[in-house]
Amino acid sequence: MGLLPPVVATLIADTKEYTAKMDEAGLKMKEFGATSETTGGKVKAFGATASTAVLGMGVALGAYAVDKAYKFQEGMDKISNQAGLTKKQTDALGTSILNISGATGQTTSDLQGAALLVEQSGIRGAKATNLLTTAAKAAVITNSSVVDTTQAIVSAQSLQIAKGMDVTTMTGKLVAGSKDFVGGLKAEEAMLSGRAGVSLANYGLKLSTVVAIGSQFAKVQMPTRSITSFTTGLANLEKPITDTTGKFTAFHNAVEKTGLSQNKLVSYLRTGNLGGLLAYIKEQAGGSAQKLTEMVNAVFGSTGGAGASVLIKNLKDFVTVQKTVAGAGAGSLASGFSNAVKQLGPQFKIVMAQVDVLFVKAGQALLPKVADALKWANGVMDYFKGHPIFAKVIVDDVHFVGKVVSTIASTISSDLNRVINFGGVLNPLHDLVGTIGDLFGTPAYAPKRNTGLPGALSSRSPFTPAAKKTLTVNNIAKVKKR
Amino acid sequence: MASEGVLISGVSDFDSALMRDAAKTDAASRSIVVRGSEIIDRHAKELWRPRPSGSQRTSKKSGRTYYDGSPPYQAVRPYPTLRTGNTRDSIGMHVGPKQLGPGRWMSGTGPTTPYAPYLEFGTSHINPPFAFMGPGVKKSELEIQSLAQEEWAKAQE
Repeated sequence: MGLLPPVVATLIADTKEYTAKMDEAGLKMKEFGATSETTGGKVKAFGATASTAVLGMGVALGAYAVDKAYKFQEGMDKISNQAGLTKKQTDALGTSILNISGATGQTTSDLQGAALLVEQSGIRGAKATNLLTTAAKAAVITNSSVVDTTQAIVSAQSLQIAKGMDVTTMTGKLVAGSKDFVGGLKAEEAMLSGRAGVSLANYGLKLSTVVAIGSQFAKVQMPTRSITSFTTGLANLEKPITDTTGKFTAFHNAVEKTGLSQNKLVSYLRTGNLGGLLAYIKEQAGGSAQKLTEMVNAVFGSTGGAGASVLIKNLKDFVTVQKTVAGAGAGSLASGFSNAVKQLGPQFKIVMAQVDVLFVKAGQALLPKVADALKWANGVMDYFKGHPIFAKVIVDDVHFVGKVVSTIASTISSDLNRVINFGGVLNPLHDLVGTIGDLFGTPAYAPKRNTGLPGALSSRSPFTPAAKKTLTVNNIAKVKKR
Repeated sequence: MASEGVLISGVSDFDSALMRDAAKTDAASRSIVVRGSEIIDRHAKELWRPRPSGSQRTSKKSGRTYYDGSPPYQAVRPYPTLRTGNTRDSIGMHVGPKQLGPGRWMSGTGPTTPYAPYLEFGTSHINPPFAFMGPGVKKSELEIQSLAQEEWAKAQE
């Protein structure tokens, strides 16, 4: 016989199923969360309640931690496959994700989604980690999804307007701008990478100015057409004031007619001082709405004039946003994050993320054993393929002890036909089969064809009628040798 | 903006506690399958009917031992009757204990004699069969359940 006996009652004890039955994990985790929502004077009791939670959660560790680690590894494998990372790169990224998760409170699965975006955009190594950290912090500050935030930062990085700016500084500026941007960081990025943002950037306007313009337009939900016309107005300003014959252009005449100086407007524009340009128009209008409309229509056209009017009406806000974004950078991102995590919500997210990271790390320590077990299980499966009779009596994947016992009981009661169908295993025993009946006083063995055993076996019993009455151990040994 | 502070301490203790519990639950799982196998073993062996008195004789000439299965020594259903005792004595844990994963262990218990399947499942001539493992497992059910509860509870202490 092989390594395994032909009749096997398999017993499997599984922590996961046991704890699932007791509904421990979820309950205790909730308890942990609820207890953690302690403030002020109750904070001192936190240590004690946390240790209670340890006991509760510890029950589920075997399964929960491995499950967490397995899912985390699955996520990393997905990144590795889709972004073509080496094992070393994947491992390093995994470590970074765990660290970022513990530091920012972003879940590891969200960070993996964000990391995939980063890696797919071709950013690798330290740069990828830096971008991911920055995005996670920005997501905390803006209370938005880390995946969306990462997408916004990755897109913004490719903009001409952000060239030469390191990712932390750029994100600091975007985050600062997003606070006054209807739709938040995502809308801000959409504006920057959209037609309006790109055309504004083409006129040499800085990121702070473009964000400030976008924030004011977003407030009134300015149509893209008006924004584009506004930028066309900027283009007209830069055109020569005379034509090829030396005469002033119609545009110049129209602008000058309203009392504005095209040269002065151009000087503001060339230095990127759009706020100054708008303030100049406002000043020249002298508080007259009609005059202001005439002026902006002359410079920006009737469609673009609407956009300019919005900016002039909200000039104070425009300038404030512009200054805020201009002054923002790496430092403001750090201080913004530091302030954000002082609030209870982000703090608890960080605590829970840290607990999760512990579970993942604990599970990772155990995962190699799982791999060994799988290797062993594959070996067993190969054995079963070669010896299918055992497969019928082995219960492969029954978890809970009670279930195992009842399942085994029902499996063991399978009929002989099923067993005989695995004739390959029975062959060495054919001669013995005839003796079994004798052993228990039943008639000589005469198998039916439909049992799957060769009919010839019926005539192969080695025993004489007299011998059939008694059977010795030695006889069995003899039969075995044949 | 008003903010509240939360003091987090004992993270490393927490980590250690998790690792300790992992080891304890793992040991409990192993113990369940090992001791559970012993329970199945005991119950499966208990089912065997003792050898009928007078059914065994030793030839003075050859010195061989013979077992008589003909009336009045024939087997009585539902359980098998001892003859040589080889099958009953061969019942034991022959697979494992093997670790299938963290906190997940298995053991396999059964007889090793080559004809044991025919007793357990029957043949066209052994019908109904003289099953001993199935009923043995069935009898072990409650005992294994309480063993499991006891082991898990101990692991959580």
